[in-house]
Amino acid sequence: MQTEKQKWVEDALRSIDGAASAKAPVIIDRVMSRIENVDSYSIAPASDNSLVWKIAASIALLLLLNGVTIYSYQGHMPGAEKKLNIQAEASDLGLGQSSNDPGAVIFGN
Amino acid sequence: MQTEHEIINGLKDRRPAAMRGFMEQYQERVYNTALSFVKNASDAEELAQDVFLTVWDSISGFKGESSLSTWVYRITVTKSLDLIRSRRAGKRFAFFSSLTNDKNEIKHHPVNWAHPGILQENKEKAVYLFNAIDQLPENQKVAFTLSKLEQLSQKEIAEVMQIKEGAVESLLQRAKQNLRKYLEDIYDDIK
Repeated sequence: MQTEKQKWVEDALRSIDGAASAKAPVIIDRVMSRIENVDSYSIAPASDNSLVWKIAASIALLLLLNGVTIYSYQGHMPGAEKKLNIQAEASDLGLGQSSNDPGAVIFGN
Repeated sequence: MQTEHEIINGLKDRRPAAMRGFMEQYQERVYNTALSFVKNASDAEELAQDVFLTVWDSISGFKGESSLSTWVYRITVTKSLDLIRSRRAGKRFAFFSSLTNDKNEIKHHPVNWAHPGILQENKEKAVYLFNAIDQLPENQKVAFTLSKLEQLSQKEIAEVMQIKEGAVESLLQRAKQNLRKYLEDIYDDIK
């Protein structure tokens, strides 16, 4: 004979049987719009690709020009001028003519 | 209605119409399963969207070793359990913070939730049962929920959980034993 307690427990255990029938909210449109957006990013049109290449080429050109500018600037630095002058003076004095190492002339003086 | 074979091929060909048809067939199942685990309508909605996006992204890797329905259930259960675990971690953090700071409130409340699909006359008992289910070890919880709420067979549950049918039977028996103990204690408290 089932006690009241046992009956209550068994009823509770059965209380959720097959209950998973709640109406789902409309999520299809939201998922579809996300899928379509993601796919449009992953398959970019050719014009977008060419834009990327144009930007990359512009950056590369800027870096190249910047490098040339730095190189020319270094040629006009005070230290660089001094080095060139010393080399010129040494050459005027006839020193270091036999050496191919310009550094040897400078440190020799 | 599309056959499973047509759905899989359509998804693999990345046809939006196939995806729409697939969601029409599966949205109730996915949403209800998620809802049974996470016990919150907006979380279940987010989770269902996430499941469908995962299916769309991973369908190329679906080898057909299980049915599409089993695979979708598996994704849904895994994502639901991940969410529950991350929630628990958050609650644990809130609890430890509350030990050092009086202003922090512990945001843990006993579940007072019953699945919206439950009959009105069963709602009160279902609330107690859902609280009891929350105390179960994860594998017992999954087996019991899929069996009772989703009415899946032991074979289907075994496929979703990737275990043997015999193991499902034993999980269900242990789950019922544990739930009975918990519910008896509740009965003693409320009567």
